[in-house]
Amino acid sequence: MKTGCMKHALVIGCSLVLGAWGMLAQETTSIAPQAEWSFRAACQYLAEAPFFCLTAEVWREHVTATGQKLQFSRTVTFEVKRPNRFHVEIRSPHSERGFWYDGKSLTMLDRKRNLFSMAAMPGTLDAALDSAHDQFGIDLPLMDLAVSDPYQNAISNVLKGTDYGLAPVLGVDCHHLAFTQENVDWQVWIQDGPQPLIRKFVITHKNEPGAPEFTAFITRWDLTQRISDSNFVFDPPPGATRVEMRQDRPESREGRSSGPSTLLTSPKAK
Amino acid sequence: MKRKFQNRPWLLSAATLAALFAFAPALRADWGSIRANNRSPSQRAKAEHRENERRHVDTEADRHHAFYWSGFCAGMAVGALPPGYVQVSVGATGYYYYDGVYYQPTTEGNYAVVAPPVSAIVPQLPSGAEAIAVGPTTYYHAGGAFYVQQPTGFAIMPAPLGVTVTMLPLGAVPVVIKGVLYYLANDVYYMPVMQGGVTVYVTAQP
Repeated sequence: MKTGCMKHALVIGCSLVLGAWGMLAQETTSIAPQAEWSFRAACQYLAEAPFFCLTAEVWREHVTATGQKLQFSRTVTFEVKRPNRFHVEIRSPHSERGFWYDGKSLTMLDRKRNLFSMAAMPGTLDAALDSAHDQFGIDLPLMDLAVSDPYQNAISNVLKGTDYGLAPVLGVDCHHLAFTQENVDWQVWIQDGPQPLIRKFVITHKNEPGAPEFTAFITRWDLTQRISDSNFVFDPPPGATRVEMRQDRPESREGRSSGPSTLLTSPKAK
Repeated sequence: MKRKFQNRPWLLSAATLAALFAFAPALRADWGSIRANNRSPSQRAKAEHRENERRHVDTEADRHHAFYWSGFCAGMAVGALPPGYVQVSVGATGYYYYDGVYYQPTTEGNYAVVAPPVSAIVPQLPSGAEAIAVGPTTYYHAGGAFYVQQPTGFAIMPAPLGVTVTMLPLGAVPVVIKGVLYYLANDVYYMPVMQGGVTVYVTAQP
């Protein structure tokens, strides 16, 4: 009798634990079906494109030591040819840089200074983007769109996803989806209709003071015009000088300036 | 308040540093992609000690263009000193100073912008000064000068070798020595390298 009661209690206990675990699991990842469906469709549409070219305006926010929030903008053109080519141009009045990946190496050109650097890369887009990031600290804007599986790439750490319905982006009706992760929140606006193109993208660095954001408006998509292989091959401009692409390693960091926390904004001599 | 600081310049320096660290934000590692933010825990652990130094250097040039000193280099001249200037001296040589820029009077009645004089001590760092840790010493770089905190303010020191800055001083000129490109400004050589997707400059002795 006593043993039976204990078994009964054990079963109930296990059920409670499993039930709680299930609820916890449900709570940890909760993506609304409509958000999941819309985002998966957009990613699948993109992943199936053998090549594409996009133009975007990207804004990066900087929060100063006094809490003032500044936005700095760039225009970005991104040409991708799956599975192993990309060409990115990032421009502003202060900075003009090009990046070429031809399946073997990554070249960066500083157009303002006419300097370039090169590094060997793995043979696929995903591996090259990761290598550029991990080895050289290069975080190309919108590279999420170039990877082989944009859906898994973006959704893997999501805790919650919500569909906020239709909203216009640059005059185009889009599905506004919002996703939460532990480290960042992000939102995406996907064109309504048969071509589910991503038109806007926001990453909120919510754990940083002032929660600065990265925003991209994709103003032009082209998934039809073939891109010549020569677009992905770097051709040095006349007079360009090759310099070192420095590894982003701790041992190379001695003497490196230490970041925005140490940047003063407005002390004036009195 | 001004007199209080003038009598006790160390107080001003302490206040500056206190403000600096009180508002110190966490440093961001990655910006324009979810993928970079989602690098796996093992990859993040590998990079753990660099996380504290990572930042997005892409926008540094935009920011620095806004600071007063970014528009001046030795050889320029102005008709009048900016309001709020202070006088500093190195030995018997006097200078006027305002926010990272040093002036000397000319015989024409103007004020010539001169190179930041080593050993000058200023009460406050120039706006936007970049902090650079070199061993136990923290340098602050702005307008082509490297400052180190002193009890009486911030002193200009000779440029430490092998340190990386994100922006060249205005007026830096390219020179090629033994086949290597440098930029020369205020007798300091800067060697360009690419890091983090942008061009940065390492102080060097060719």
